[in-house]
Amino acid sequence: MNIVIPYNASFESVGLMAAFESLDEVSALGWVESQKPVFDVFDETRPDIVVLTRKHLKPTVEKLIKQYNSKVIMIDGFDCEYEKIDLTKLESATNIVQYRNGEKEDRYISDCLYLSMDEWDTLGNEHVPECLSCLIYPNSKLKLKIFGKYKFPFAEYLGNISQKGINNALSSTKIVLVFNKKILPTLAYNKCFCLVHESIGNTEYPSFSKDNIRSSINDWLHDSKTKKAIINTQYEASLKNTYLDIAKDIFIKLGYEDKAELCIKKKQELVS
Amino acid sequence: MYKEKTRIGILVDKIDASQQSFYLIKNINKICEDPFLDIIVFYKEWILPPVTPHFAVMNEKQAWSYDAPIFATSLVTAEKLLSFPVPTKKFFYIWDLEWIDLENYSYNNVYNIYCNPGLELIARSDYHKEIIEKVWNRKVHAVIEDFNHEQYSEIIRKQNIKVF
Repeated sequence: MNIVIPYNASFESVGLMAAFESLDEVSALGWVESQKPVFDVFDETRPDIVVLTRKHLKPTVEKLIKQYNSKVIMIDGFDCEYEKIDLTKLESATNIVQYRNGEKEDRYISDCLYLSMDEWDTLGNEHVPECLSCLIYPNSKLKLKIFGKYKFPFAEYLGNISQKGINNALSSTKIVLVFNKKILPTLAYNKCFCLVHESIGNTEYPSFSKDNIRSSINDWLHDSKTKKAIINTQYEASLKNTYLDIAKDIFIKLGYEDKAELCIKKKQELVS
Repeated sequence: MYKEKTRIGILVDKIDASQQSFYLIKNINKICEDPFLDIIVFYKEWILPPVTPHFAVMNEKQAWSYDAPIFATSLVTAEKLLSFPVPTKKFFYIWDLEWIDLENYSYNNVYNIYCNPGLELIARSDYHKEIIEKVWNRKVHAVIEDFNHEQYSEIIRKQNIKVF
């Protein structure tokens, strides 16, 4: 079964693709509109399912959907004839396929970690450089590490790492700094303790601002009891809505009960 | 009666009119006033130096079979030095915090140089030393400020390499 998903390197498109890809006999293909014409995508993949957003739903695409008899699922609901999935649910899902089985490694040990993985989060969010610059040497003696594809002009930025490297870095740090709500459930699944920026709004994790970031980190570095309680509560919550659950919902809505069953089995296998 | 001499090699990208070459030549000239220290600087590119060197200067190819300790001075030379089979000890004198200026690099590639057990790290200042130890989780062996000839001589003598 071929599934085409518009790919924009966002956390949710990567998570959904990984969930589909983890299933046997399912092949998920990321489509970058600016790089590949829609005709070629349909001609080469003959998709059984196409996941679309509002901006992708053009007359040409609709014609191709009919021509290739593909089933459609829309990820930002508006009035149309196709089945929809809830965008809020998608954005708050847990990626248990890629982010798992991290091991503590000496090379990744740090007091706090920031992952610059999301383009908007890193390049469009002014709070990120503002807060991180409070933690760089010599402003702070804290051991900060920054990994990811989006560069920061700090000595603490150490380049891009593999998925296994990310998982190990998450297991080797004491605090993960978060500026984007979408990644929180996945970090919770990895039993990370997160400090979230106040701009995110209310979460179950403690928050920080530019003014109190250093004192917040110092306080939380030494409060392991409360940290543990938060980590355990959030871990349980993170299992309720994963990208495999969303894949399951999509299959059920489109009438692929057998594939939905595969999603349930895969989730059980990964979580156990 | 044989005289004992300490030999050391320094591997640089180029000898040119840069700050690095200036400090290097100026300080090695001073170190070489001691007749029992024998220093060779290996280069990849030779451009007119700012000060006349009073020591041996050779192409980097010669370092491959140089049987004495060698100091690399950049990520590129450190990577090369790691592949040389003959040097008896390998040091990485971190002149610049180069990883800050690298574009689109993989952590593992750079980690494999800075944290290679075959290289001993030497920082250029206490400030650099603290940063290197903090971000790469590795101890820096010593600090030599801008090729300072006294600090360099001390480390060289500690190597205790004898040639007859």
